[in-house]
Amino acid sequence: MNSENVIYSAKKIHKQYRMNRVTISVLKGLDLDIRRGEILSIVGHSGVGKSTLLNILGLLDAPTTGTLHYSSQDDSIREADLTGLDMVTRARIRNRDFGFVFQFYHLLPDLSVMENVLLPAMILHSRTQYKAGEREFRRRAEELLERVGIPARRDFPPTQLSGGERQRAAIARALMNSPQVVFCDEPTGNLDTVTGEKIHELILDLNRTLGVTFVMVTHDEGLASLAHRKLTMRDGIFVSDGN
Amino acid sequence: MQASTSPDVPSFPYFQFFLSLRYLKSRFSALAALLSVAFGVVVILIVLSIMGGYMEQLRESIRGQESHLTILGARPFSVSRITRLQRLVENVDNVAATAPFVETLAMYRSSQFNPCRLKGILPRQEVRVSGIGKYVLRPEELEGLLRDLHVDQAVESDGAPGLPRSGLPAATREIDKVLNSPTRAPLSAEELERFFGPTGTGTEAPRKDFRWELLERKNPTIVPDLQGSAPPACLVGIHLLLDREMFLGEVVTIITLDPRTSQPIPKKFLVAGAFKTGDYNADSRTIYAHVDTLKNMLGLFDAATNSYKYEGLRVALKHLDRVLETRENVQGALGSTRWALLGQAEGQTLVCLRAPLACGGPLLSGAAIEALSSSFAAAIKAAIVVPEHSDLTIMTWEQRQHILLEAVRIEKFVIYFLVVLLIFFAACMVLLMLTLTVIEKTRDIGVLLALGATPFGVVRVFLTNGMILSVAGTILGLVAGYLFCTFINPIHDWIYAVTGRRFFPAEIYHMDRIPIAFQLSDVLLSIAPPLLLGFVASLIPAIWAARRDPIKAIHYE
Repeated sequence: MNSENVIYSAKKIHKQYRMNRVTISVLKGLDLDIRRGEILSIVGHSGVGKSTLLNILGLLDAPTTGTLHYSSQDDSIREADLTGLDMVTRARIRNRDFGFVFQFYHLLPDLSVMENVLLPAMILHSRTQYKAGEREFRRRAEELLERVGIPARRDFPPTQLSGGERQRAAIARALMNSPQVVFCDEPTGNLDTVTGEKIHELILDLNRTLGVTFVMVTHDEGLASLAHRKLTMRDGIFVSDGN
Repeated sequence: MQASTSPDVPSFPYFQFFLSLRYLKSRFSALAALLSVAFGVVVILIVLSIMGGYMEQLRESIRGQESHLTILGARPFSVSRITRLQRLVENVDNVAATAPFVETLAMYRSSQFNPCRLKGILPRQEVRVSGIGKYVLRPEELEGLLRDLHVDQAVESDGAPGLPRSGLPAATREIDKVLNSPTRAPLSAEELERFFGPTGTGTEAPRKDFRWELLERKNPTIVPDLQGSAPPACLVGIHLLLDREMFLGEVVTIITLDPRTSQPIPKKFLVAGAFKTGDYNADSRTIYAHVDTLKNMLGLFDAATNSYKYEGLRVALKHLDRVLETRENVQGALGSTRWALLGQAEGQTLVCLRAPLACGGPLLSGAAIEALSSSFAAAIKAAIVVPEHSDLTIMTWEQRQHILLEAVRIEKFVIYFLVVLLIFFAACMVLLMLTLTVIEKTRDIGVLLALGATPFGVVRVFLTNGMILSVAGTILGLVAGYLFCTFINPIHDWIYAVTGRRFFPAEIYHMDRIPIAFQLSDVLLSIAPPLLLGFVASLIPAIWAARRDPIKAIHYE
């Protein structure tokens, strides 16, 4: 893959925390290019900074130093260092261009599965816009639920779903606003092996059919081995980069 | 590089309202918070409406009994030459009418002696200065009501049914219905005068007037004893009849004290009619008689001035909003009476002294007075030193009752601020409920932030949550408070009928019904605290929610 395919680029990312007057360096000058349409897995032992890196890439956290560049469709953002963006713009990028899948699904228990999937659209649009396009949003949500294999669960509350079904619903939610990149933090970490493998297949299928880029932090060697690229982290840096 | 904010960020994303409602639906504590706000508003509205109604009815009642202005002498029964004073006052701008009165404390004899206030009025003039025409019941109205209420008999022990326990509220309601009927016109001067007979005093007129008709119908056994001379009539407060202290057509003895000798003076009066002002005190302790009757009874003839002395003069104004200005003008007119009176006392010669003043010309200087003949000068000096009407006090109706009115006004606001504490409690409920919601929904907050909600959007979720509770609670409270106030008297009557206890005793509050008045200012005072405190109580947890670190919030256990 050449540099034209790079959708997201992180340069010299440092992240330090101060705890009890002691400065802890979690990330030590990481460079990372994420290519359009790939599945990138980041593996490593606990505490090496995988999740910290994912949070920084997902604009949930800011690096101490370093730059982030994202190949956005929005010209004002394309050339910008994402670390310097204001809070509202970063929130907007998270909503429109990124998707998130968490280890513990984090579906909102007060909403049905369908409403959970629709939530990113509700955040993106005003009431008038949402009501005007509601039929289209619902059609897309139903399509996503069908694609992830739980169309019959659309009106169920998340609490009545199995772990695998919840993660499928979370993946559908992450895809609602047609993001460029989906960040997955241990997506199979809370699932049994069989269910985990089904989630692997689903991610591969979505990547293949929708062309969505997946960045996954995982302990799951099985899932990591399915990725186009696997990066191994140790002590805040990448120690291997394999295709 | 700092990028600008995306231009297409909606100000009010749909999720805020959607999620707010969903969070409310799923929480019982939200209902508790809403009800506590509503309860606070109900209490405020009821308190303000009752206090406002009480104030209004008190003012109305005072206005009905008091005239707009009252002119009083320095001592009791010291206002003489009343006709001249009336003429003088009626010439003042904005004065509509005047009426003299006599008022004294007295006792009436029923099963025992009871105190009362005996007021002497000149019906033809009184009807123009006070609301007496509205409050006095026409004979046919009164007789019909007393018959319906079974209190038209002399005593209860003769087997006639008395008022049942719940009868008093029902009776006053019936009387109010008659008095407040939109088609009912106030009594005319002639109608009012008819009660007292053609001569007023009645003692000298053995004619078949209203009093004889009444006696023959209601109390015929006494007629032969009267030897052709009917006792003077009196109008009594309605509660004296409802409480069977007296009955219509009865001849009662009223005793007062001679103002000069302090000796008791008994006199018989015929109970010829009744009135109801709504002021329980007045309606149970006031008796109206003709002023001429009282003048003779009290011996108020003043040989020095060859006229009767009165307690004072009631004054009605054309425009009540100019009451203070008119009071000053009347005061000014009374100050100049010395010239007018002197002119009349001395005949034509001194009329020239009055003329320049009346025309706005200069007063006579000291030198000019010296130049007059010595007898004239002495007369003028005497008039200056001892002016006839300059020691009169003029009071507005509010001044006459200012202590009571001010006390009620202060009490209203003290109670209001106490009741606002209830709203503070309700706001604390909202604060507590939202704080618990924020704690419970911490992970949701992290997810929302991760999915692209702005912190400001999260603020709005919880702020909307709190404001929905405050607004809905306020509306519910207003509706419930309005309904409660509307039906407060039937509810009170029912409680009285069942328990025998009254929470608004007429003898304490001087009103036989719980007064209610809805004023815009009271509604605003009712809704402002819950909305304001609700906003603050919602904003605090909402800001706290938005300041949460999304990463920590997502992993919150």
